[in-house]
Amino acid sequence: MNKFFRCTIMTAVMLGLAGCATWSAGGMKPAPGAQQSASAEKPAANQDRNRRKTTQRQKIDPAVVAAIAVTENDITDRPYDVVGDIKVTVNKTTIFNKDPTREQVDEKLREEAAKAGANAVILVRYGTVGIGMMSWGSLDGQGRAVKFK
Amino acid sequence: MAKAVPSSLNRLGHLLLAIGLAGCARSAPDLPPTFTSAPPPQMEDGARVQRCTVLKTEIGNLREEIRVAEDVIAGRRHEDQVQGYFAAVLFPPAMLLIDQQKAQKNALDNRQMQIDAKLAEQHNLRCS
Repeated sequence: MNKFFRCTIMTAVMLGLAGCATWSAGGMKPAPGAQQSASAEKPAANQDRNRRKTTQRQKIDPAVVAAIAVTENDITDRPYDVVGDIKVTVNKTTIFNKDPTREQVDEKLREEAAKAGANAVILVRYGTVGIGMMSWGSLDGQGRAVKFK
Repeated sequence: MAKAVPSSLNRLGHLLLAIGLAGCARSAPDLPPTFTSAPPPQMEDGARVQRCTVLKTEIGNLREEIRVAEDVIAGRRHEDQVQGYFAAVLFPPAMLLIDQQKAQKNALDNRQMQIDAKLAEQHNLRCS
């Protein structure tokens, strides 16, 4: 049992010293109600998806990420196509790190949108910070990635 | 010694459960269906602009209400966790009495749904 406690303490120390205050996860799914318009451009969409798979492994230009608009509202002055719905979660690594912030969620949404070739993330909404299944402090956010026409 | 270890693990388990119960994360509300690009309703320009202004104000008010409610939840979170620690150590069944602020969290989701409905109307009216 002493070995068990030693391992636990070692793991805790390693996590504490890891230096990563947060870690995050994200993903995209098709927006409800947007399938009909997307099906008309299926071959192009497939090509686009394949291209995206290969480019996801490449590093995204930080300038492209920074240029992506993130808003809690809709964009009404520019027509757009819906790319998909993005959901991201930012978690703090250990119980001693600071709670994740909305700015970190926005940044993760921008990264996911950039991977998908979107120009903006609209209708952004956030959860409430608290303990999640995988973290001592977790905050999630959702938004709709759009591409201007 | 053999008995003490399971007991301390048991206590640790209670403590983790208390922390979890007292400060659960709330997921972001679901996104609304994609706004349709239907032709704008027959409405005079003046009336449309007036309605757009009203919608903007209402959305602003709802966002302010959400901000206040979130501050309350954040403020209560640490208090709930302290209650959780004490309950875990002194009397574990008391953990079930800890207010998880579910009502406030549901109210936040309802306000977001109201905002979504107003944003859809804004989109339909082509409000700028």
